[in-house]
Amino acid sequence: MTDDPIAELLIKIAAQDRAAFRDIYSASSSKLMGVLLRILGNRAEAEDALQEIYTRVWLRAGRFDPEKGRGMTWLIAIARNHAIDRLRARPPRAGNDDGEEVAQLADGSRSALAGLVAEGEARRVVKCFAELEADRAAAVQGAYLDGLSYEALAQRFGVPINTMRTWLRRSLLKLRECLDQ
Amino acid sequence: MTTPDIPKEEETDVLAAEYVLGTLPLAEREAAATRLRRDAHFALAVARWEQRLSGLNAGYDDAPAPDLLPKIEARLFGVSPQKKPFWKSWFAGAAAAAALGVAVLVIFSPAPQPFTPLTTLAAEGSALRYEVALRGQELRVARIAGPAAEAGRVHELWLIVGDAAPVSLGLIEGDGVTLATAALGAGMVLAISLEPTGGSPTGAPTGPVLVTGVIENI
Repeated sequence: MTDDPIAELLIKIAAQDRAAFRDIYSASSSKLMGVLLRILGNRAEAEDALQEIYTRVWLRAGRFDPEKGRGMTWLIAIARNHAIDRLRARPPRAGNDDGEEVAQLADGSRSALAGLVAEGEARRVVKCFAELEADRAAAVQGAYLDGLSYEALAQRFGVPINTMRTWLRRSLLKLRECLDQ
Repeated sequence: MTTPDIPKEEETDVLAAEYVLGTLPLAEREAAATRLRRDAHFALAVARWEQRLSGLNAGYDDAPAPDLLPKIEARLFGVSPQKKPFWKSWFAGAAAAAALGVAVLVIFSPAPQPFTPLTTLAAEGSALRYEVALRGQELRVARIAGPAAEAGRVHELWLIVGDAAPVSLGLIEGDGVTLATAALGAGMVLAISLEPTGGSPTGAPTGPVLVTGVIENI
Protein backbone atom coordinates (compact mmCIF):
# COMPACT_ATOMS: atom_id res chain seq x y z
CA MET A 1 0.00 0.00 0.00
CA THR A 2 2.92 2.40 0.57
CA ASP A 3 6.64 2.59 -0.05
CA ASP A 4 7.11 3.40 3.61
CA PRO A 5 7.97 0.25 5.59
CA ILE A 6 8.40 2.18 8.86
CA ALA A 7 4.87 3.56 8.52
CA GLU A 8 3.53 0.04 7.98
CA LEU A 9 5.30 -1.14 11.13
CA LEU A 10 3.87 1.79 13.12
CA ILE A 11 0.36 0.86 12.03
CA LYS A 12 0.93 -2.71 13.25
CA ILE A 13 2.41 -1.45 16.52
CA ALA A 14 -0.70 0.65 17.08
CA ALA A 15 -2.57 -2.68 16.99
CA GLN A 16 -0.24 -4.02 19.73
CA ASP A 17 1.92 -6.12 17.39
CA ARG A 18 5.07 -6.92 19.38
CA ALA A 19 6.90 -8.51 16.44
CA ALA A 20 6.49 -5.25 14.52
CA PHE A 21 7.94 -3.43 17.53
CA ARG A 22 11.07 -5.60 17.36
CA ASP A 23 11.32 -4.99 13.62
CA ILE A 24 11.07 -1.24 13.98
CA TYR A 25 13.83 -1.28 16.57
CA SER A 26 16.15 -3.12 14.16
CA ALA A 27 15.16 -0.87 11.28
CA SER A 28 15.48 2.50 13.01
CA SER A 29 17.54 2.36 16.22
CA SER A 30 20.86 3.22 14.57
CA LYS A 31 19.34 6.27 12.91
CA LEU A 32 17.80 7.45 16.19
CA MET A 33 21.04 6.70 18.03
CA GLY A 34 22.81 8.97 15.53
CA VAL A 35 20.29 11.74 16.29
CA LEU A 36 20.67 11.29 20.06
CA LEU A 37 24.47 11.15 20.06
CA ARG A 38 24.69 14.27 17.96
CA ILE A 39 22.32 16.28 20.17
CA LEU A 40 23.22 14.89 23.59
CA GLY A 41 26.92 14.29 22.89
CA ASN A 42 27.09 11.57 25.50
CA ARG A 43 26.64 7.85 24.91
CA ALA A 44 25.26 6.88 28.32
CA GLU A 45 22.57 9.54 28.16
CA ALA A 46 21.82 8.72 24.52
CA GLU A 47 21.21 5.07 25.44
CA ASP A 48 18.95 6.09 28.29
CA ALA A 49 17.04 8.39 25.93
CA LEU A 50 16.77 5.64 23.31
CA GLN A 51 14.90 3.41 25.77
CA GLU A 52 12.57 6.26 26.65
CA ILE A 53 11.91 6.98 22.98
CA TYR A 54 11.01 3.41 21.99
CA THR A 55 8.74 3.20 25.02
CA ARG A 56 6.94 6.24 23.64
CA VAL A 57 6.87 4.75 20.16
CA TRP A 58 4.97 1.75 21.52
CA LEU A 59 2.56 3.87 23.52
CA ARG A 60 1.98 6.55 20.91
CA ALA A 61 1.99 4.61 17.64
CA GLY A 62 -1.79 5.12 17.50
CA ARG A 63 -1.19 8.82 16.96
CA PHE A 64 0.89 8.29 13.84
CA ASP A 65 -0.96 9.29 10.69
CA PRO A 66 0.60 8.06 7.43
CA GLU A 67 -1.31 10.74 5.54
CA LYS A 68 0.67 13.42 7.31
CA GLY A 69 4.19 12.19 6.74
CA ARG A 70 6.69 9.37 6.63
CA GLY A 71 7.27 6.97 9.49
CA MET A 72 10.94 7.80 9.89
CA THR A 73 10.15 11.51 10.04
CA TRP A 74 7.73 10.80 12.90
CA LEU A 75 10.32 8.71 14.76
CA ILE A 76 13.03 11.33 14.37
CA ALA A 77 10.66 14.05 15.59
CA ILE A 78 10.06 12.04 18.79
CA ALA A 79 13.80 11.49 19.23
CA ARG A 80 14.74 15.13 18.63
CA ASN A 81 12.02 16.41 20.94
CA HIS A 82 13.05 14.14 23.74
CA ALA A 83 16.76 14.91 23.31
CA ILE A 84 16.14 18.66 23.23
CA ASP A 85 13.90 18.43 26.32
CA ARG A 86 16.81 16.79 28.13
CA LEU A 87 19.26 19.36 26.85
CA ARG A 88 17.17 22.35 27.92
CA ALA A 89 16.54 20.84 31.35
CA ARG A 90 20.27 20.42 32.00
CA PRO A 91 21.67 22.71 34.61
CA PRO A 92 23.89 25.41 33.08
CA ARG A 93 27.45 24.29 32.37
CA ALA A 94 26.75 20.62 33.06
CA GLY A 95 28.54 18.13 30.88
CA ASN A 96 30.69 20.57 28.94
CA ASP A 97 33.91 18.91 30.01
CA ASP A 98 33.12 16.01 27.74
CA GLY A 99 35.48 15.31 24.86
CA GLU A 100 32.76 13.98 22.62
CA GLU A 101 30.77 17.13 23.02
CA VAL A 102 33.69 19.31 21.97
CA ALA A 103 34.14 17.15 18.90
CA GLN A 104 30.47 17.57 18.13
CA LEU A 105 30.69 21.37 18.32
CA ALA A 106 33.72 21.44 16.04
CA ASP A 107 31.88 19.24 13.59
CA GLY A 108 28.79 21.43 13.69
CA SER A 109 30.72 24.55 12.74
CA ARG A 110 31.21 23.40 9.18
CA SER A 111 28.22 23.72 6.96
CA ALA A 112 25.91 20.92 7.96
CA LEU A 113 24.50 20.82 4.47
CA ALA A 114 27.87 19.84 3.07
CA GLY A 115 27.11 16.35 4.34
CA LEU A 116 23.59 16.18 3.01
CA VAL A 117 22.80 13.82 0.23
CA ALA A 118 20.84 16.00 -2.11
CA GLU A 119 17.99 13.74 -2.99
CA GLY A 120 14.24 13.72 -2.47
CA GLU A 121 13.11 15.89 0.43
CA ALA A 122 16.67 16.93 1.11
CA ARG A 123 17.12 18.46 -2.34
CA ARG A 124 14.40 21.01 -1.76
CA VAL A 125 15.83 21.87 1.64
CA VAL A 126 19.28 22.41 0.13
CA LYS A 127 17.86 24.73 -2.51
CA CYS A 128 15.86 26.76 0.02
CA PHE A 129 18.73 27.06 2.48
CA ALA A 130 20.89 28.33 -0.35
CA GLU A 131 18.53 31.30 -0.64
CA LEU A 132 19.36 32.39 2.92
CA GLU A 133 22.47 34.30 3.91
CA ALA A 134 25.18 31.76 4.68
CA ASP A 135 25.54 32.46 8.41
CA ARG A 136 21.77 32.38 8.94
CA ALA A 137 21.43 29.11 7.09
CA ALA A 138 24.22 27.70 9.25
CA ALA A 139 22.46 28.93 12.39
CA VAL A 140 19.15 27.25 11.47
CA GLN A 141 20.95 24.00 10.64
CA GLY A 142 23.00 24.14 13.83
CA ALA A 143 19.83 24.57 15.83
CA TYR A 144 18.07 21.70 14.10
CA LEU A 145 20.89 19.16 13.88
CA ASP A 146 22.82 19.90 17.07
CA GLY A 147 19.97 21.18 19.26
CA LEU A 148 21.73 24.50 19.89
CA SER A 149 19.84 27.03 22.00
CA TYR A 150 19.52 30.71 21.12
CA GLU A 151 22.15 31.36 23.75
CA ALA A 152 24.65 28.90 22.24
CA LEU A 153 23.96 30.18 18.72
CA ALA A 154 24.41 33.79 19.81
CA GLN A 155 27.75 32.89 21.35
CA ARG A 156 28.92 30.99 18.32
CA PHE A 157 28.00 33.74 15.88
CA GLY A 158 29.03 36.59 18.19
CA VAL A 159 25.70 38.43 18.22
CA PRO A 160 23.28 39.29 21.07
CA ILE A 161 20.63 36.66 21.84
CA ASN A 162 17.78 38.87 20.67
CA THR A 163 19.52 39.53 17.38
CA MET A 164 20.00 35.79 16.90
CA ARG A 165 16.35 35.17 17.62
CA THR A 166 15.27 37.82 15.15
CA TRP A 167 17.59 36.32 12.51
CA LEU A 168 16.18 32.90 12.98
CA ARG A 169 12.54 33.91 13.06
CA ARG A 170 12.91 35.84 9.81
CA SER A 171 14.91 33.02 8.23
CA LEU A 172 12.19 30.54 9.18
CA LEU A 173 9.53 32.62 7.45
CA LYS A 174 11.68 32.82 4.31
CA LEU A 175 12.24 29.08 4.43
CA ARG A 176 8.54 28.44 4.77
CA GLU A 177 7.81 30.53 1.71
CA CYS A 178 10.39 28.58 -0.32
CA LEU A 179 9.59 25.12 1.04
CA ASP A 180 5.83 25.48 0.55
CA GLN A 181 6.14 26.32 -3.14
CA MET B 1 8.72 37.56 22.16
CA THR B 2 7.73 39.83 19.33
CA THR B 3 10.09 40.54 16.52
CA PRO B 4 9.83 43.73 14.51
CA ASP B 5 8.62 43.04 10.96
CA ILE B 6 6.90 39.79 11.87
CA PRO B 7 3.14 40.28 11.55
CA LYS B 8 1.12 39.34 14.60
CA GLU B 9 -0.83 36.64 12.77
CA GLU B 10 2.46 34.90 12.05
CA GLU B 11 3.37 34.58 15.73
CA THR B 12 1.76 31.16 16.15
CA ASP B 13 3.45 29.70 13.12
CA VAL B 14 6.85 31.16 14.01
CA LEU B 15 6.53 29.80 17.54
CA ALA B 16 5.70 26.38 16.07
CA ALA B 17 8.84 26.62 13.92
CA GLU B 18 10.97 27.57 16.95
CA TYR B 19 9.52 24.66 18.89
CA VAL B 20 10.42 22.22 16.11
CA LEU B 21 13.85 23.77 15.70
CA GLY B 22 14.32 23.35 19.45
CA THR B 23 15.79 26.76 20.21
CA LEU B 24 13.29 27.92 22.85
CA PRO B 25 14.52 28.31 26.43
CA LEU B 26 13.13 25.78 28.91
CA ALA B 27 10.15 27.77 30.22
CA GLU B 28 8.96 28.76 26.75
CA ARG B 29 9.53 25.23 25.47
CA GLU B 30 7.41 23.78 28.25
CA ALA B 31 4.67 26.34 27.60
CA ALA B 32 4.72 25.41 23.90
CA ALA B 33 4.55 21.68 24.74
CA THR B 34 1.47 22.31 26.89
CA ARG B 35 -0.13 24.33 24.13
CA LEU B 36 0.66 21.53 21.69
CA ARG B 37 -1.58 19.18 23.69
CA ARG B 38 -4.45 21.66 23.97
CA ASP B 39 -4.45 23.66 20.77
CA ALA B 40 -5.14 21.65 17.61
CA HIS B 41 -4.31 24.63 15.40
CA PHE B 42 -0.87 24.92 17.00
CA ALA B 43 -0.36 21.14 16.82
CA LEU B 44 -1.05 21.25 13.08
CA ALA B 45 1.44 24.10 12.64
CA VAL B 46 4.07 22.05 14.51
CA ALA B 47 3.37 18.95 12.38
CA ARG B 48 3.75 21.00 9.20
CA TRP B 49 7.10 22.38 10.36
CA GLU B 50 8.29 18.88 11.20
CA GLN B 51 7.55 17.97 7.59
CA ARG B 52 9.13 21.11 6.15
CA LEU B 53 12.41 20.62 7.98
CA SER B 54 12.52 16.84 7.66
CA GLY B 55 14.92 17.11 4.70
CA LEU B 56 17.56 18.13 7.25
CA ASN B 57 17.29 14.67 8.83
CA ALA B 58 19.63 13.42 6.11
CA GLY B 59 22.32 15.35 8.01
CA TYR B 60 22.20 12.83 10.87
CA ASP B 61 24.64 9.95 10.50
CA ASP B 62 23.69 6.49 11.70
CA ALA B 63 25.40 5.31 14.87
CA PRO B 64 25.42 1.71 16.08
CA ALA B 65 22.82 1.25 18.82
CA PRO B 66 23.16 -1.44 21.48
CA ASP B 67 20.32 -3.96 21.74
CA LEU B 68 18.17 -2.31 24.38
CA LEU B 69 15.04 -4.18 23.32
CA PRO B 70 15.04 -6.58 26.31
CA LYS B 71 15.08 -3.64 28.72
CA ILE B 72 12.44 -1.73 26.79
CA GLU B 73 10.18 -4.77 26.55
CA ALA B 74 10.61 -5.47 30.25
CA ARG B 75 9.50 -1.94 30.95
CA LEU B 76 6.52 -2.11 28.63
CA PHE B 77 5.38 -5.69 28.99
CA GLY B 78 6.70 -6.58 32.44
CA VAL B 79 9.02 -9.36 31.27
CA SER B 80 12.14 -9.41 33.36
CA PRO B 81 15.21 -9.75 31.12
CA GLN B 82 17.60 -11.06 33.75
CA LYS B 83 17.32 -11.72 37.40
CA LYS B 84 20.31 -9.81 38.70
CA PRO B 85 19.02 -7.62 41.52
CA PHE B 86 20.26 -4.05 41.22
CA TRP B 87 21.57 -3.98 44.78
CA LYS B 88 24.13 -6.68 43.94
CA SER B 89 26.06 -4.52 41.54
CA TRP B 90 25.64 -1.55 43.80
CA PHE B 91 26.89 -3.52 46.77
CA ALA B 92 29.89 -4.84 44.86
CA GLY B 93 30.76 -1.32 43.77
CA ALA B 94 30.37 0.09 47.26
CA ALA B 95 32.47 -2.68 48.79
CA ALA B 96 35.25 -2.16 46.27
CA ALA B 97 35.21 1.55 46.93
CA ALA B 98 35.34 0.97 50.68
CA ALA B 99 38.20 -1.50 50.32
CA LEU B 100 40.20 1.06 48.41
CA GLY B 101 39.37 3.69 50.97
CA VAL B 102 37.81 5.86 48.29
CA ALA B 103 35.20 8.39 49.24
CA VAL B 104 32.35 7.97 46.80
CA LEU B 105 30.61 11.15 45.90
CA VAL B 106 27.28 10.67 44.26
CA ILE B 107 26.01 13.59 42.27
CA PHE B 108 22.36 13.76 41.39
CA SER B 109 21.69 14.08 38.43
CA PRO B 110 21.86 16.08 35.20
CA ALA B 111 18.80 14.69 33.48
CA PRO B 112 15.30 15.57 34.69
CA GLN B 113 13.37 12.61 36.01
CA PRO B 114 11.17 11.49 33.14
CA PHE B 115 7.67 10.06 33.48
CA THR B 116 7.72 6.27 33.51
CA PRO B 117 4.93 4.61 31.56
CA LEU B 118 2.67 2.66 33.90
CA THR B 119 -0.11 1.24 31.80
CA THR B 120 -2.34 1.91 28.84
CA LEU B 121 -6.10 2.11 29.37
CA ALA B 122 -8.00 0.48 26.53
CA ALA B 123 -11.00 -1.68 25.78
CA GLU B 124 -11.79 -4.15 23.05
CA GLY B 125 -13.80 -2.60 20.28
CA SER B 126 -13.05 0.94 21.42
CA ALA B 127 -10.71 3.42 19.75
CA LEU B 128 -10.26 5.24 23.03
CA ARG B 129 -6.86 4.86 24.68
CA TYR B 130 -5.21 6.63 27.55
CA GLU B 131 -1.53 6.47 28.42
CA VAL B 132 -0.81 6.59 32.15
CA ALA B 133 2.67 7.47 33.39
CA LEU B 134 4.18 8.12 36.78
CA ARG B 135 6.86 10.48 38.06
CA GLY B 136 7.28 10.44 41.82
CA GLN B 137 3.90 11.51 43.19
CA GLU B 138 2.58 12.74 39.85
CA LEU B 139 0.33 10.63 37.68
CA ARG B 140 0.01 11.79 34.10
CA VAL B 141 -3.05 10.62 32.21
CA ALA B 142 -3.08 11.49 28.51
CA ARG B 143 -5.56 10.54 25.82
CA ILE B 144 -3.54 9.10 22.95
CA ALA B 145 -6.34 7.86 20.72
CA GLY B 146 -10.08 8.16 20.32
CA PRO B 147 -12.46 11.04 20.95
CA ALA B 148 -12.82 13.25 24.03
CA ALA B 149 -16.10 13.20 25.96
CA GLU B 150 -18.96 14.92 24.14
CA ALA B 151 -20.31 18.28 25.36
CA GLY B 152 -21.96 18.01 28.77
CA ARG B 153 -19.93 14.93 29.68
CA VAL B 154 -16.50 14.31 31.13
CA HIS B 155 -14.09 11.40 31.51
CA GLU B 156 -13.46 10.49 35.14
CA LEU B 157 -10.52 8.38 36.35
CA TRP B 158 -11.04 5.71 39.01
CA LEU B 159 -8.71 3.53 41.05
CA ILE B 160 -9.99 0.07 41.92
CA VAL B 161 -8.16 -1.96 44.54
CA GLY B 162 -9.27 -5.56 44.92
CA ASP B 163 -12.96 -5.76 45.76
CA ALA B 164 -13.18 -2.29 47.27
CA ALA B 165 -15.40 0.39 45.72
CA PRO B 166 -13.72 2.53 43.02
CA VAL B 167 -12.08 5.71 44.27
CA SER B 168 -12.17 8.77 42.02
CA LEU B 169 -8.72 10.14 41.18
CA GLY B 170 -10.09 13.09 39.24
CA LEU B 171 -11.63 14.42 36.04
CA ILE B 172 -9.79 14.42 32.73
CA GLU B 173 -10.39 17.66 30.90
CA GLY B 174 -9.19 18.00 27.32
CA ASP B 175 -6.39 15.71 26.26
CA GLY B 176 -5.10 14.82 29.67
CA VAL B 177 -4.15 15.89 33.16
CA THR B 178 -1.44 15.42 35.71
CA LEU B 179 -2.81 14.37 39.10
CA ALA B 180 -1.30 13.84 42.52
CA THR B 181 -1.28 10.08 43.07
CA ALA B 182 -2.63 7.94 45.78
CA ALA B 183 -0.34 5.03 46.72
CA LEU B 184 -0.39 2.83 43.66
CA GLY B 185 0.65 -0.79 43.56
CA ALA B 186 0.87 -3.73 41.21
CA GLY B 187 -2.47 -5.37 40.48
CA MET B 188 -4.53 -2.24 41.01
CA VAL B 189 -6.88 -1.27 38.20
CA LEU B 190 -7.36 2.15 36.63
CA ALA B 191 -10.63 2.80 34.82
CA ILE B 192 -12.28 5.68 33.04
CA SER B 193 -16.01 6.22 33.07
CA LEU B 194 -18.23 8.68 31.26
CA GLU B 195 -19.84 11.10 33.72
CA PRO B 196 -21.85 14.32 33.61
CA THR B 197 -19.79 17.56 33.56
CA GLY B 198 -18.45 18.15 37.03
CA GLY B 199 -17.98 14.45 37.62
CA SER B 200 -20.01 11.65 39.15
CA PRO B 201 -22.67 13.16 41.42
CA THR B 202 -22.67 10.13 43.71
CA GLY B 203 -18.99 9.49 44.29
CA ALA B 204 -19.23 6.16 42.45
CA PRO B 205 -19.10 5.66 38.68
CA THR B 206 -22.55 6.32 37.24
CA GLY B 207 -21.85 6.19 33.48
CA PRO B 208 -20.41 3.39 31.38
CA VAL B 209 -16.83 2.31 32.01
CA LEU B 210 -15.01 3.15 28.78
CA VAL B 211 -11.48 1.81 29.19
CA THR B 212 -9.45 0.04 31.87
CA GLY B 213 -5.88 -0.97 32.53
CA VAL B 214 -4.05 -2.99 35.15
CA ILE B 215 -0.90 -1.69 36.83
CA GLU B 216 1.49 -4.55 36.21
CA ASN B 217 4.59 -3.39 37.96
CA ILE B 218 5.56 -0.16 39.58
